[in-house]
Amino acid sequence: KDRGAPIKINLPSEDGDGGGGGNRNNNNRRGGFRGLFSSNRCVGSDNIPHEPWKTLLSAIFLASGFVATTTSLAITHEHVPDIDPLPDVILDNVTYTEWGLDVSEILIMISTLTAVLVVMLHSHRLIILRRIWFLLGCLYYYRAVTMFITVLPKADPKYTCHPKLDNTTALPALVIAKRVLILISGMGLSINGKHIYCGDYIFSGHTMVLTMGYLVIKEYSPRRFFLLHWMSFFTSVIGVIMLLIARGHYSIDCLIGYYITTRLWYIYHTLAHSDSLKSRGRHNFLDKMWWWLIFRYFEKNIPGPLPRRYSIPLPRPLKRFFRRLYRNWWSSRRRRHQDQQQQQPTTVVVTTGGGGGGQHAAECHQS
Amino acid sequence: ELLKVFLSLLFTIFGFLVTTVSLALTHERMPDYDPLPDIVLDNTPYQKWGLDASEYVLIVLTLLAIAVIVFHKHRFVVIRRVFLMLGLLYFYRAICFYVTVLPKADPAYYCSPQLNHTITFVELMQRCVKIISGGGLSINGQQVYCGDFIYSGHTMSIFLAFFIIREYSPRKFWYLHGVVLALAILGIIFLLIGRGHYTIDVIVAYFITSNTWWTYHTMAHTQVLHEHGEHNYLTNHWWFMGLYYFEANVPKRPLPREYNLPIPDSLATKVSELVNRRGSQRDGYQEIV
Repeated sequence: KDRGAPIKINLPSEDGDGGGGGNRNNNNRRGGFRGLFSSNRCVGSDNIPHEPWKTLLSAIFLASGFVATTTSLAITHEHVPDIDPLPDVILDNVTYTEWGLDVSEILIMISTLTAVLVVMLHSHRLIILRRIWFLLGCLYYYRAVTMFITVLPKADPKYTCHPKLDNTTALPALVIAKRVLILISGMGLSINGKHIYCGDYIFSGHTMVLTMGYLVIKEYSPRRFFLLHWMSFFTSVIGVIMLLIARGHYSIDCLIGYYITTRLWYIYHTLAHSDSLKSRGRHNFLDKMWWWLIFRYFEKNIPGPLPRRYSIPLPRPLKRFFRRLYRNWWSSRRRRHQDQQQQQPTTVVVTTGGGGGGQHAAECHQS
Repeated sequence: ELLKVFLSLLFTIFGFLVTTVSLALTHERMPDYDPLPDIVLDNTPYQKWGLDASEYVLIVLTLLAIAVIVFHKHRFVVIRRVFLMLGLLYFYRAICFYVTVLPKADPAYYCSPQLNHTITFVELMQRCVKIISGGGLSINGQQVYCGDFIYSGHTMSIFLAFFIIREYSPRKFWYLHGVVLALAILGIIFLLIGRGHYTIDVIVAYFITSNTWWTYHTMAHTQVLHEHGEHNYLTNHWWFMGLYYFEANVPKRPLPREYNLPIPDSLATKVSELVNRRGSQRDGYQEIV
């Protein structure tokens, strides 16, 4: 049909070599090394559309959530009461350790980077990113509300908070904007010295990120990577414990943060994996979630749990280049061993006309 | 399946007891600070009658919810569900207000003086009895132990009653649903202006109650959500086995909205026979059975 485009026919061979790319159906079923170079168009091999614009919308939602949360903190900072920390069953019964917060944040960075790696190596990364960003956006919005409505005093009397403006009237918008920029540049971590505005206790963003990191790694990495899952679990648990012994948050903040993150994750993913729950009706109470329509828009073309396939996130031309390199190397290696092997793989590569190079000798062998 | 009803009742009672013990202990740890800054409490005028009004609303809604359950044909299924959820919500509450104790939201509220020694078992039991006799309401003067802020039991009960009425009463009673919703919101407003709770308590209570209700009912209505698997995260809830056991013999679809008098079947048939015979004699119409 397409004049000048090579038609490649690949018959399955003994050692399963498909040459790395022409036949989309065969190739992408392979995990592991060869699968990493498989082509990954907007319609993936499992017929799951990636719809990158929805991921973009999700990113915008997350960004707006982050701005909402930092604005809320900038304003809440002014209202932090100047009283002793509240009685807390964990904070009052463990020895205060100042470096705990730094350790917790380092663990957060490790957990987040690992989760990012897992997602970027996943074939359906755009869909997963869309989900994670949407959930994070929701959680940041919830946080913006909860820390603003009732303000708890500092849990750690030794933590340095920026002095308040002591303005009885509302904060000028410029001051808020400046604070928002400082907070965003710090990404919510205290380790870089940017988190100098206090009052963001209920609920704990650290716990939320640690929990999310574990959930992402558990769900989207290969099922048999037990070591990774357990390490991620312990990272998250130790991260929360370190946070508490450093008096970074009250216990109730961590509890609520854990509860809200896991519940939202469970509900969203169960909805996304089930056809019947994507429709309204008396059988489905989860359609009362305020974000249900957004969920429907994002997930209506996704049929069930995402298959665990992995690939390197390179642009297509680059992947094609590497694939060609690999194919050339492989076929030359095979030619070298042709005499030594009894059976030869059946690889029929038929190219028609056009575009110089790429003319392969047809190799057929009856076995 | 009365055994299951009994078990769920035990679960609720256990949850209630745990909450009571937790409150008796939390009272001792309540700090003597000024109320925390709160967006609603600081910007609305304090009304002393607010808490009482919200409790009257709560009583009305609870009675309505009980009436709906009593007249529902599948009352035992509904009771089991409600008890399981109540027990669960009480447990969560017991943990939440114990771990971090907030100061009194209403400086004018009378709280019993704190003991200056570690509480003994006998004193703990005495307090529990006092709290239970009040049922968690302040209007009877028994709620003198403070500190149970996060999260609000009043909000939880009000919204639970609203959800029960909305789900299990006839669908055409939409005006009732509207009235109940308005009452619920009014109850929350009264609670806040009476400084019974902080705003965060109310929000968290609404979130937990609504999420639990919706998750439970979606699972009860969908067969595929009773099976473990990659498609189903909801089995990760710690109470999933309870739900699985209670809903084992209930068909996995919404309960049909059918109503009848809560009397034994034999009595019901006799009554309806009597009524039919009386009616047919009056009309002069012989009913051939």
